[in-house]
Amino acid sequence: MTPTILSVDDSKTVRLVLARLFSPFACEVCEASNGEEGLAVAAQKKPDLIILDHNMPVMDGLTMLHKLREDPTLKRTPVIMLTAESGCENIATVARLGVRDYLTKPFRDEELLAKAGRIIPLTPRTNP
Amino acid sequence: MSATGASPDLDRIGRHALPEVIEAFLGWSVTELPPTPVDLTRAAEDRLLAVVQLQGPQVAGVVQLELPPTFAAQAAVRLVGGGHRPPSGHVEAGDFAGELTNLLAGRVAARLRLEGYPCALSNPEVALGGQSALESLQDPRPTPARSTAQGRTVWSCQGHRLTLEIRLDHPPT
Repeated sequence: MTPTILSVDDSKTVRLVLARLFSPFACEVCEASNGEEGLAVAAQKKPDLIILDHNMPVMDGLTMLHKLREDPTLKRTPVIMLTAESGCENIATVARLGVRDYLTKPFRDEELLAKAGRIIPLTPRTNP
Repeated sequence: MSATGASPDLDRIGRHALPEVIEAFLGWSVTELPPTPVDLTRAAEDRLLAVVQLQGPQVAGVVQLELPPTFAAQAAVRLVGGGHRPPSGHVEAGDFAGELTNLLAGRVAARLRLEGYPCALSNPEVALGGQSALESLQDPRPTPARSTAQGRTVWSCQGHRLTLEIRLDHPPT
């Protein structure tokens, strides 16, 4: 079965970069522009991996993460957190909330693919 | 780490942050240009201005990037216009400018934290156009009662001029 990745970031640029990054692989990438939208899409799509930005308007990544962990159907969803700032104290908080990995933006493509590939199978897409 | 009392060298921080971010995000190199005086009367119809606010217990300030939309368009092609172009949409210049400034502010905040000035980032605000549009952004200028440090560096990247400005506002002691 094809894995589903949910990318939650207020920047369309980042969402497009992630779509481009995962496009060679057999997976579905869906997106949301803030935590509130992210929770709604997650409830509908039940993603296999969420790539979650930290700083966002409406609902930030940390709040979305708390709400995900309170939802019995989504609480085990693996999350990779993205942040613009390295070394902030939120790293400890997200670790307590079971975030599988943490990346500082801008990240190298291979770095994110390696982290995602440890969570979901990344199989090259076969052309019809 | 606690603050040493000396103001952080914002030119130095900018000189580290901008090349690091541009090279990591876009794979492009940058060259620093000689500083030019700020000309507030200059028409800025063809410029984007993106601002991220910094807010911490000891300092407040801004990271501000000025760039031409044509640079943003070129960068967009670089980011998503390759062989695996996603089917949905294209990068918008304003969104790109905001994200780039967010990344720069992240690097600046990380260095400030190391120097004892932790601060959080706001979401980016972006304006396109002339001076009045730029002034429509939340005024980031510090209040006169506070002491202010400022760093301004000018860069060339892919034939375009980018200006990075960092301002920090210390409360009076």
